Amino acid sequence: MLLLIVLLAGCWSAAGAAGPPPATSGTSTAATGSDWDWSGFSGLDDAPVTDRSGRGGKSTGLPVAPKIGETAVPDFDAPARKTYALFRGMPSFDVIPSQRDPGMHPCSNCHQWVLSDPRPRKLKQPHDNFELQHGLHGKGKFWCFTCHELSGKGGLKTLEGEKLEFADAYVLCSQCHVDQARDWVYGAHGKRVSGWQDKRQVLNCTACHYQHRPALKTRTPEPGPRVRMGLGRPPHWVEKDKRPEADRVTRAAWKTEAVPDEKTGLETRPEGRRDSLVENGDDEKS
Amino acid sequence: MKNPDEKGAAPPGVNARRRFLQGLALAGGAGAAHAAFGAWGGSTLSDAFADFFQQHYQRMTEAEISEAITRIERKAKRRYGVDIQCDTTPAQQGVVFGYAINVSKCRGYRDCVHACVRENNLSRDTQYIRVIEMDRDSTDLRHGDHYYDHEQVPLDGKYYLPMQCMHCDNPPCVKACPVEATWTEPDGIVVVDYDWCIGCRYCMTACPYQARHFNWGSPALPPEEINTATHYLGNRPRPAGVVEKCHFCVQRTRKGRQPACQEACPTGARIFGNLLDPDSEIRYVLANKAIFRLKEDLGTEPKFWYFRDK
Ligand code: SF4
Ligand code: SF4
Repeated sequence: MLLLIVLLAGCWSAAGAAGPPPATSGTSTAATGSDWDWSGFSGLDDAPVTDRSGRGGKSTGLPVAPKIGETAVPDFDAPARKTYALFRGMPSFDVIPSQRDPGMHPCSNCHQWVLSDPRPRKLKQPHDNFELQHGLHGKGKFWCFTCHELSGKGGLKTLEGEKLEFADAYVLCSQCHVDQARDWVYGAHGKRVSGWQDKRQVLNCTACHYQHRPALKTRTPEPGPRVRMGLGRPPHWVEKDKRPEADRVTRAAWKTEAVPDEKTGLETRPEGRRDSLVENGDDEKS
Repeated sequence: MKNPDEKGAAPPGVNARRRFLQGLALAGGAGAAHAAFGAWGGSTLSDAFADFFQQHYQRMTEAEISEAITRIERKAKRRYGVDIQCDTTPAQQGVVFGYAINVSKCRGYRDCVHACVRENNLSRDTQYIRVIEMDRDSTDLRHGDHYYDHEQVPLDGKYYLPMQCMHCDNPPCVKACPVEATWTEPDGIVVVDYDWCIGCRYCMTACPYQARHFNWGSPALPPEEINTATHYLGNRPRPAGVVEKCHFCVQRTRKGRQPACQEACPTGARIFGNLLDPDSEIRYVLANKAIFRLKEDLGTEPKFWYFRDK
């Protein structure tokens, strides 16, 4: 059966490559493409503004969660859950579940009644508003049922078939994204909410990455600083392409072969920063 | 020293009082001249006198501090019609703050910049945080641009490098200040006593990171947007003619909260924490990531690191 799915997945990807390029604006297609209720996938703009400190401080009017794509709205009032141990001896922390976890998954609106067709294929009506752009997933290597159960309400399952709650989606992501998961567990990836002190509370992966198209979208930046008189771009400021070659410190320059100096024995590089330091005499004095 | 109210119709006698105080202040030395009639507006005579004789924050007794606080709150009420709470929460024991930014994650949205402006009652033409748009493969700050204004960010071929006060462990700004109006607190935060600062701007010249900002006029601060939870060394409304800068949201972080910029960052690029806690996230970053600091060769020892994912 698995073999069959993989084979079909290959066919689907080939068919997909020949077809027209998929639409890139997820929300707008989703909103106009069908009469489905996509409210569960709406952005975060209308999320209530609350204080995330958990300490009763004054809200500064900041959005409750990041405004990126169709991400899940974190539910700060939800009871704490036990966190899965992804790594041995990892620190303890709470993961904030998302608000639409219980029973709000739009697929289950139909698929709790209608059987799913498990065959990987190019999606047609009424699924054409749905976009799967998750790295290899979009290229047909993965499919709905890589992560979702075939039966019931389309809950999550691991690659080994264990059932998972939506609130524990990070377990699913960490099966492939091990580096990110490690960083997330130890605090170098992801976002810590509440304070820097006390029990650590972090957002789930799906609070920032929309699971079916995890790449972050571009957006308009907030306004920059006012240009004070005389403090604009300096007169020598030129676009990168128009700059003289010597002005660019590039990675290639850093990678050039190190040459030991005959007299001092110091290693110098033909181009790059090390060289200029030696020329300035900074190194020779010390 | 200009007073913004001076042009308004003042009752007779008020200007005479101002002239008197002005003369008094000039005679008394420039040290606290601005405090008597800075841009606070509508100071009463007793407040003006008390401000004039107000000591350096570190030399005040508890009673003097609480009087100063009452005056600060009263002045804010008079000037903006807002009840602020000014506190003096001291540094926690065994805490030194540090910051790390993941430059691979920063996407140049500037959400942090504006969260900071709102949280810290900044004049609406001042921004503590500058997000610098840099060419990929280059760390040459000369070609960075913090005025970028694109339709969409991030731009291909660029990366974004947010800069603010680095809270240097060896801060040149502190050494430059002739009146010791700026110093390092036990939790590593470099703070300014706005009432002691004489506005000479030596510190601005000394800071290699352009982190300090001068209030040329009274801060343009809409009363309805004032954040009323303030700290003496942090975000209380500032008078004109003093220098201010990022203070790691001292009013929040000393109570265990995150700074406003960390809270606002939608990508999780900002990591704030206690450098003395071996289990903190920032210590994990420092131990496990390829980190760098800006202008390290100057020996300022910033407590502000940058790292990349790969
Ligand atoms: S960054 Fe500038 S203002 Fe901040 S501590 Fe260092 S020298 Fe002082
Ligand atoms: S401007 Fe800077 S150097 Fe001058 S008194 Fe104020 S804090 Fe000190």
